[in-house]
Amino acid sequence: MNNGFAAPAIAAAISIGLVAVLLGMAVTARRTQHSPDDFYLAGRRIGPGQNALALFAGFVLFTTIFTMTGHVSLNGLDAILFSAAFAMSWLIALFFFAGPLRNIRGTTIADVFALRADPRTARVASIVVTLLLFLTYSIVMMEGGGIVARMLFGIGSETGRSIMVAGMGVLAIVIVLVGGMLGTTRVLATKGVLIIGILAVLTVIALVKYRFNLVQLLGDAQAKAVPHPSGSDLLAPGREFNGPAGPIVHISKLFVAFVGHAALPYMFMRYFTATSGPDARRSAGWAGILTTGFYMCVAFLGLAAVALLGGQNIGMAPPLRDTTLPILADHLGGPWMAGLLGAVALIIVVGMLATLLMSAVTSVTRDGSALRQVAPEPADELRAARRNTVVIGAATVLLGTVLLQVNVHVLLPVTISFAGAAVLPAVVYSLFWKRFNTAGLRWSVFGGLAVTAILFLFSGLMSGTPIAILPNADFHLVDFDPALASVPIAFLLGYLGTLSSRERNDAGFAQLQVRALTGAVLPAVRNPDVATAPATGATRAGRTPSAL
Amino acid sequence: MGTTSSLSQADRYVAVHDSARFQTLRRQAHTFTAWASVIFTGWWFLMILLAAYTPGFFRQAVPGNLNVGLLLLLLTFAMVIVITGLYLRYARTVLDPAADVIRADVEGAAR
Repeated sequence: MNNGFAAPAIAAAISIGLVAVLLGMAVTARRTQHSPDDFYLAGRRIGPGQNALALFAGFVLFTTIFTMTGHVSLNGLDAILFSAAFAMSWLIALFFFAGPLRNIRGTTIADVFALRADPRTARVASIVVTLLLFLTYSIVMMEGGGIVARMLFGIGSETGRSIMVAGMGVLAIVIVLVGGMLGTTRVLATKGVLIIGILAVLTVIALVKYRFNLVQLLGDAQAKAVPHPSGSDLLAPGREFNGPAGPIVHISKLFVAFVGHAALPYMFMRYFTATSGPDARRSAGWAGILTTGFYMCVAFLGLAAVALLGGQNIGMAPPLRDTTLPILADHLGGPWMAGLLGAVALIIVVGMLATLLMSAVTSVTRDGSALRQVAPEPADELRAARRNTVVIGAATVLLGTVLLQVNVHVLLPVTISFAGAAVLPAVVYSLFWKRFNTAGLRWSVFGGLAVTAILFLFSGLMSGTPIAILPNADFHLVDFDPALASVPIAFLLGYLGTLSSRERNDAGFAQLQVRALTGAVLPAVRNPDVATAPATGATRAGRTPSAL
Repeated sequence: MGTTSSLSQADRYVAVHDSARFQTLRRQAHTFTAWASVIFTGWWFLMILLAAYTPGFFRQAVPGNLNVGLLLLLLTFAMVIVITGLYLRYARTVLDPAADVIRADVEGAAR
């Protein structure tokens, strides 16, 4: 890859400074880590401003900013449509996740499910979903780290790239280990500020270059774009919709991003750290607004790259489109801007790995001890959480480094499909359907996972297309991304599963709704038989429905 | 037995849930969520289908080197901000005060 646009030395120097700052943040957060809740949830003391920045930063992957800019330069309107799907997904987060989940005061999603279903099933569902999505997503993040190493730090050798990616992973482990959720949140908030800052500066410079004449810019982008085989103009739909397999491929991508993104555990677990339900809601709302502004800048920069540089001179093929933003940064701001962008890209990857690791450690430690029905001493649980950080983190870094040679990028839509199918129906039914029960939870979560996995196995993401994991084999039967079918099927499975069982727990539903809407929590009653009632089948099935 | 404080925890939640005040809050919150969801989900699916199957409509020129598709995209971005803003305001001015009253009542009576 010719990367004359990169400024590796400047990027490395800025990175070292930034990493020192981030480590300092983690170390100062260490003093606050007295209990497991301090570690998992930052003591539920994250205010709405910082949480909004952290949520936004948790949303921005390497691909969100680099690939999307190149995507807009290549595919114009169809790509901007794709980015709008992600912006829209924040409305689902706002209405169905942020306020209700924080009000219920959970630590993992199991605390929500357990109000409606058998606690054991709830814990297993939480641990399986959180860990699976952590693994697949982390592998994609590390692949992004490899691209950053090659593209922006000029590291040509495979060994060098592996070492750098492993270094990013170790840095993320240290941030989580030392700083817990508070340290991770501060790192993410810093990442958010850096992203907003550099995009805003680039946008303003490009606007000034065009003397704020957006009409002219649109015209130039249209005229200078590389012609597309489908014959579609840059600013008209068709460049993605008219693929070899027809419009269904792009339709499925627009659907997946919209329905699945809010249901990623590492995203919604951040609401649990907010100071209150209303603050969680505010943070989701502002994160959505930040994301919308972010994508408008990305769309603008993607079009500006074509208008200023000409379609021939920026990344033309999909593997090269990631270079569009660095080329533009170099053009607009010179080597210092390109170097700063490289350092920000490094922080983007490290921040993602840290926040993902945080979600896995929280679920494995907390849900794990609940499954074994032990109530560890707080100091022991804190120690276990730190041990799990090292074990899970090291195993993941090893796996991700080994998989650097494999085409794992397709795991991105697959992960979001898993979240949409396994989590969204279970959360929506838990919040709004009185009849929902253990069987419904089991069918929707595990059925959703299974259907998504099978669809993935036989999709163009696994085989039969150039981007697939096995590009040289072809046993694909469906062209679309899994969630287009698996989310509706998971909703159906949750419905059928619920009806297949006679269990119902109207009291659990009443409790969930009161807590989700008001944040009220009644202290546990002294009589242990009554307090643990939801665990026994007789009591659960015993309540007759009140006609509401 | 018989007084509120000696009811089981589950029964107390049911009692709060069935109270008129909570039912009003629930209806207001869920009505807003339902309408907003119908609007933004419907809008998005309409956008997807129009872009995929009526490219000619999206391509129609609008003054200023724009076209219908780009205008609808700008509207989509604007809609995210507007719906978010409206919900945050509705929740702050209508839902939260009602929730606070119920919560203070529930947690106060429990002590």
